[in-house]
Amino acid sequence: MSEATPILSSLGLAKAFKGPDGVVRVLESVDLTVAPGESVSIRGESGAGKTTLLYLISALETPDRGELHWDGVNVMKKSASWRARRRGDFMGFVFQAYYLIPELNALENVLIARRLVGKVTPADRQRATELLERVGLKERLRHTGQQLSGGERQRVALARALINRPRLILADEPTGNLDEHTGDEVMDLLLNLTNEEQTALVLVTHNPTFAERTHRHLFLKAGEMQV
Amino acid sequence: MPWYLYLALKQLFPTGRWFSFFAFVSIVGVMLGVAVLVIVQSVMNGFGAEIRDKLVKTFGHVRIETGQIIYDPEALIEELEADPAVDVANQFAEGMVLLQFENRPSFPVVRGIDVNTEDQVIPIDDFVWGGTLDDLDDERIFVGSGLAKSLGLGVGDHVEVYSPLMLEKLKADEVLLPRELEVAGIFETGYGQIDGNTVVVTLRLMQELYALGDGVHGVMVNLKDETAAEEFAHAYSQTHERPLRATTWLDANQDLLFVLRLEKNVMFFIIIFIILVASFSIANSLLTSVVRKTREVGLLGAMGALPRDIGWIFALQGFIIGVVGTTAGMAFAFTALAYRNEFVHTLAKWTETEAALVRFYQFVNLPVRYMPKDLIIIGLSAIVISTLAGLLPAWRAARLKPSDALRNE
Repeated sequence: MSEATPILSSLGLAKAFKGPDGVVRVLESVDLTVAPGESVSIRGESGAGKTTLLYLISALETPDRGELHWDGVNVMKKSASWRARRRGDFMGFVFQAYYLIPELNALENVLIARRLVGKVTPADRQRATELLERVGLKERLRHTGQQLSGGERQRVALARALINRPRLILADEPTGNLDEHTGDEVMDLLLNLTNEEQTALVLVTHNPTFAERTHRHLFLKAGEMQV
Repeated sequence: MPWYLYLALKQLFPTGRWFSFFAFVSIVGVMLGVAVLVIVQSVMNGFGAEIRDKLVKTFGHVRIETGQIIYDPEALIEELEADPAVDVANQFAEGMVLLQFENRPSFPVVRGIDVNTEDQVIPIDDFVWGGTLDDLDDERIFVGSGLAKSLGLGVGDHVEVYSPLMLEKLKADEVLLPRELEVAGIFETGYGQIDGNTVVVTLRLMQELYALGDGVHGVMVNLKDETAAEEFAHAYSQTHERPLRATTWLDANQDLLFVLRLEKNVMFFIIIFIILVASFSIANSLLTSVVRKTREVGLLGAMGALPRDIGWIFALQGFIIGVVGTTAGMAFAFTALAYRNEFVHTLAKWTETEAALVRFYQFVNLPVRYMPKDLIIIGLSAIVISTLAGLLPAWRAARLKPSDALRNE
């Protein structure tokens, strides 16, 4: 696993924000390497910078300093439009609040991620349907977000994250809005599916049990990564 | 289909519903504006066409005059009718007389027409009631409806006519005897200026009243192609020396035609405010939508959407509302205009104003004329205004930073 080019590698990532009381240094120097198919959990206290780190490694935020490589490519040397396009098929996101598009049904919500990177083919529809069946939503394909429960919405978001066969999934507190039982189910699906699809996973969570189920467990403290 | 067009359509017409409430309100706003514009412009075109038609029918396409008496009109007519563009030419004489009925005087314009050929140029029988052109002879007169009304005249009444020539007799202390004429018909062109101040007699009587001999005041020309009047008049003036001059019906009525055009343009600018108000509603709703969908915008950015493509979602919604609203507005207007007469008659019947409609407006059916140019201008204006309404929200959405949008609470 460690022999191959890392899916993701960051070196000395730092980020500070200007606040009303001056500059807040969120991340001092973060080194993170994720191998293909590897799952990594990141824990940390609230405000430790876990979400900021996810936004930095997905290039949604620009670091103040440091290097970021996706599949060996130095991302910060590329244009913003290149980063956006590459992000679309290179990585998938699962957020705490699902972020389904309310005007679309479950199948359409999954396929929208495909539409963003190219034309939707019958094979894509087939895969979206299979993914939704895989997450237990076979009977809910035509249901809109409002007609689904929280757990079902997160399953749709999970299928959406996987539709483009990304190399990396970034999951930000994916069970944060769910009850314990549903959270367990969603986490099982997340880990099983990323494992089946040979997709690397960076999981931000407060839950030590979920964190324990990944290959590596990291802890973010005082703006730096600790093993 | 590009994904941003797909999402724009879905936000207006979501899965499981015909359309969103926002789309409904916005489309209805544009639809009403377009429908009212099309209805008003088409009806004004219809009225305009009726008026223009009456002007042509009472004036002829072109008049050839010298400002003096033309003593050899036959030669002029022969020359004109040799022109392949000319359909028919007819001589006329025109002046003023004193007309008296039961001691009530008036000073109408008198037009002397050649009864043998006049109906080839002006369809006078279309305007006359109580008589026909055949009833007009040297002892009879047609009186305009407005004038007849003001004098209390009817068919069969006798009027006295004094011509300016009689002034000469008065100066010479001769006995002044008016010409007594019987009213053979009342004509109504619908053009108040003519109906209220014109009488028609035979050309021979007019020549007698004005001592013209065989002379006339001009020749009315009808062309084979009505729209070629200006071209014909220009060519005629170029090839003939003064005092011969050609005047088109457009030149003679340019003030009225200008007012008609002005009125139509003013109506357009007033009514287009309906679409402008609708566009503010669209802009406001789309701006609210951008705020409401901030986290979705962040999600799209995370999934690889470019800022300009995110902007397209909102810009296209304005465009789509414009296109759908315009189409619906046109369809509504065409349907409403197709049933306009039923509507007007029902309304007139309810309000008991059907007789007044005919009496004052000289129409039984509401005239309508569709002009492709108007429809194109209205449609394009509505679509452009609606699209512009989507640009500010689009710009706001495109400027949102995905990471900030995702953090938005």
